[in-house]
Amino acid sequence: MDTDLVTRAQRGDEEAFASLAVAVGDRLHAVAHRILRDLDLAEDATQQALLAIWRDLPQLRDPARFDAWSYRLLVRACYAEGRKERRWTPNLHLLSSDEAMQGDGSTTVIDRDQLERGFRRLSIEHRAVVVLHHYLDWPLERVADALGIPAGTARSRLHHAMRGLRAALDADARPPAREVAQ
Amino acid sequence: MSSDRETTRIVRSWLDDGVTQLPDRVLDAVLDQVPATPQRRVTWWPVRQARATNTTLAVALAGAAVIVVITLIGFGLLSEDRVGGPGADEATPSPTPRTTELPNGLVPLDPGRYTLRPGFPADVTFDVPDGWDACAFSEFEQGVCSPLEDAGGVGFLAVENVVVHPCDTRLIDPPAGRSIDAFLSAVANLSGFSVTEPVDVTRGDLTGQQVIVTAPTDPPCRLLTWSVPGRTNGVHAGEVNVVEVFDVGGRLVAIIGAYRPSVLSDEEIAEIRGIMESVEIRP
Repeated sequence: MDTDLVTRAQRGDEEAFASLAVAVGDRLHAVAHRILRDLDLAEDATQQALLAIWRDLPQLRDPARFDAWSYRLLVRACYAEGRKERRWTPNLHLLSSDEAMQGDGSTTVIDRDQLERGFRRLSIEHRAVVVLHHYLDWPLERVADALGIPAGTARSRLHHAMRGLRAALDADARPPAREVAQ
Repeated sequence: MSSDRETTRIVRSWLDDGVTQLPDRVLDAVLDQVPATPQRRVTWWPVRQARATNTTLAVALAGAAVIVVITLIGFGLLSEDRVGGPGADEATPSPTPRTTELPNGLVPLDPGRYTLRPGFPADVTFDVPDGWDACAFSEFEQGVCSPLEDAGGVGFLAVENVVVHPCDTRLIDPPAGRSIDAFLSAVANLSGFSVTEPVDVTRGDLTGQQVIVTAPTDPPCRLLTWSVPGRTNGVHAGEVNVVEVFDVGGRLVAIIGAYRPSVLSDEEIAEIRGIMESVEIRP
């Protein structure tokens, strides 16, 4: 990230912030969508995160840490949106078969459906660790730093989440129960 | 059974699919709001810098104090007969704490004392420390939330009923909100939850009851609990809710401190308790 842009935005330069928002908006939105699994919630979370970035930028001590800091604000916005989802109405958006077919072929429709369900059962905290580690390919220490949690907690959340996702995949692998003839 | 490596491969591949572009309208909405959104200026002061400037700061403060004293003398406010307090016939101005109305929605708050928006069945004021968000969703459900990890908060709810079962959206019939006893009895019967015996609690002229409700740590479903007009509350696995219920003119008002011991530190939980202790409630 261009630290000069960050510094100028910290001083209240709206044009610099606009350039910053354009530069990071897509990445933040992609992560929000993967955490929340809902386009509307992800758009709201990204919008809230970008405004929080603008509002709190003067409090960022080291402009070089902008990336990690911006993801922390994004994940907070995802928590808030997830809370809104929990507090208002369940907003399940399971993948249709057509959507599921559009992948690169390396996961089956059934895998994707099972993963979607398994992932939705995870808390937002656990989802965030999975997405930052497996989607952004960040090492766990960086994930922990961005989320403001100890590395051990990040490791434990990842372990718990992956165990849940593995169970979701394995649930599908089990043969269906046979009907008992009367 | 999937191996760990296979699971990781499938998860990574699954995560690779999905949106990668922020719609222009969202970006436009953000940039439209920027001019009206003030930046929060730095409130911290680096220790190193504070130490380096101790002498300068002391000189500056002393200078400022001299100027203030000279100004006060100039206005006749520091004459000898005023020293020691106001005269007997003077009214003592009492400081009036400023109270701010809690905004709707999920909004960061400045620290201070807040009051609920109109429409709630009781007058409620409370203190909010630095770093908290409003999380108010209707006039019947207002409160403040820790911005960290959806981990806790203090809510003020006009409770009406309780679910038949935490995994079921159906509510008890007749509604449990007809009395404190009926409400707490229904809460105590929430399947899988641990609920303490009710104890009396007094706030001002109101006497109510308090229970501590702990959600199961490994629930089979998304957990539902009590309802307000238009919405049924949900809780996280393992979440603890300190629930105080008061009868305000025939309507039940609940003050609820909620936190997740697995996520929050002792200090953060103490902050939630501090907010609860600061609550004043009047009919």
